[in-house]
Amino acid sequence: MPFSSLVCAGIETTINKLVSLDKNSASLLDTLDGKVVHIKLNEYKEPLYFYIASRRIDVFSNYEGDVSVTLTLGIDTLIALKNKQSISELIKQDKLIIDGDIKVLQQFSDLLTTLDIDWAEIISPYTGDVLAHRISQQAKKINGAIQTQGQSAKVHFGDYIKHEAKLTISPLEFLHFCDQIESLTTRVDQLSAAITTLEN
Amino acid sequence: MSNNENQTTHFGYEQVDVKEKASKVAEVFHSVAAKYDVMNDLMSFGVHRLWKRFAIDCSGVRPGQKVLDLAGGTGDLTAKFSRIVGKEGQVILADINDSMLKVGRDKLRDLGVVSNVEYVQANAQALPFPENTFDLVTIAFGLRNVTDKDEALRSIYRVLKPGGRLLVLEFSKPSNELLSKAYDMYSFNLLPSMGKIIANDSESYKYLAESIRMHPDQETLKGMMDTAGFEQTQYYNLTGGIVALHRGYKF
Repeated sequence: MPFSSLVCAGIETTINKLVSLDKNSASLLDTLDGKVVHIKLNEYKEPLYFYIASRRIDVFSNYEGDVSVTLTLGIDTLIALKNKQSISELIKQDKLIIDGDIKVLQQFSDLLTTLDIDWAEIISPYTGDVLAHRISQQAKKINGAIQTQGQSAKVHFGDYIKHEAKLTISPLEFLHFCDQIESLTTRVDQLSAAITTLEN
Repeated sequence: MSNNENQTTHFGYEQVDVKEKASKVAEVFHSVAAKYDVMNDLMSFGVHRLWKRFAIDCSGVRPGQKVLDLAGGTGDLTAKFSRIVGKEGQVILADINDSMLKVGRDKLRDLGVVSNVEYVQANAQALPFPENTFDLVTIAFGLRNVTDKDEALRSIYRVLKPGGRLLVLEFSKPSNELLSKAYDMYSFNLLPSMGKIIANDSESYKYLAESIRMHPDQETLKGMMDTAGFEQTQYYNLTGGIVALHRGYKF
C-alpha cells in the first residue's frame, strides 16, 4: 500500500544518503553486491527488503526472489544489534531469529553501524573551514557533555530511589531476603517431613 | 471507446479519426518531453514516485529476468528494474514517441544505467518481439494514450512468457465522491494553468485531464484484461482511486 511505499522511500533515501557520505562504505557495498536482507519487525506488519546492488541500497516492501538472510526482531532489538557481542545473547533470549547467511547480516550491520562521516568536510563548503572545524568540535563537546550528564543522572536517580525514596532495595538486602526464604523452605521441608512421620 | 463504423476515437473530449490519434498523442508528448519529470513531480506533488514504487513492489521481478517497460517515458521504472534484474537480466524501455525515448535514454545514461537496458521505439498494439519473451511487462501511465487498448492488451499477452505478469499503472476513477470533486476541480482548473506557466503548454495538460476522464474505470479495465486472456486479474486503488494498479498473469 502507498503508506508502506512512503516508509520504504524514506528509509531508502536516508540510508543511501548516509552511506554515500562515508567514503569507506564502497568496499562493503561491493562485497554485499546482489545480496538481499529481509527484516521482519514485530511492531510493523510490512516486511522490509534491503536489496544491495551496484553500490546502492533499494528498499522494497515485497520481493519474490531469493533472500540471503531473514531477521525477525523488535525495534528495541534492532538498536541492540549495534553491539556485535550481544547478537548471540539476543538469539538465546529468542529476541532475534536469524534465518540464512549470518555473514551477510554482519556485513550489513557493519555497513550501517560503522559509518564514519566527516561532518566538518560536509559543512565546510557552506561555512568555510574554520567555522566548520569549530562547529564540529563544539558538537563533539556537546555530545560528550550530554553523555556524561546522562550517565551521572542515571547514577543519581538510582541512588535516590534506593536510599532516599526507599522504593528499591540494595543487592545485599536482596541477598539477605533470598537467604531468609531459603531457610524458610528448609524449615517447611523439615516440618512436612515431621508431619509425615507422625501420620505414619 | 473506439467506434468502428465511423472509424473515430476519442482524443481527450474530442472525436478524431482513428488514424490521427497516434500522431495527435505524439504531438502532445513531443511538446512535454523536456519538462516531463518536473511536471510529474509538481502535478502529483511527488506522489507519482510512491505509485511507481508500489508497482515495483507488486512486480515480483527477480535477478536474471527480462522486463519490458512499455510507454516507459523517461525511464523511472526502468532504472529500478535494471538494478533488480542485474547483469544476467535485461530491461527494454519501449515508447512510441522518440522524443520521450531520447529524454529517457539521456537520463538513464546520466544515472549510470547502461549495461542491461535497451531502447526500442515501438507501438504497444504491435510489439516487435517474439512470443513468450518477457517475465514482466509494465505500462505506467501509457495505456490511456493507446488508440486500441484491447489490441494492445492482446499484443502484450502474446509477448509475455507463461507465468509472466502484466502491470498496468494508470489514472482511474476516485472511489470517494468528495475526493472526486476536488480532483476534478484541480485537474480542469489548476492543471492547465500550471502547464502554461511551467511548460508553456496548457493544451497538452488539458488533454491529460480529459484523457484521464475518458479512460475506462477500474472494473472495465479489469474486464478488458480478462477478455485479452489474462488470469487472476486484480486491481489496487492508490490515493483513493485516483490511480489504480491492475495486475494480471498469463498461464
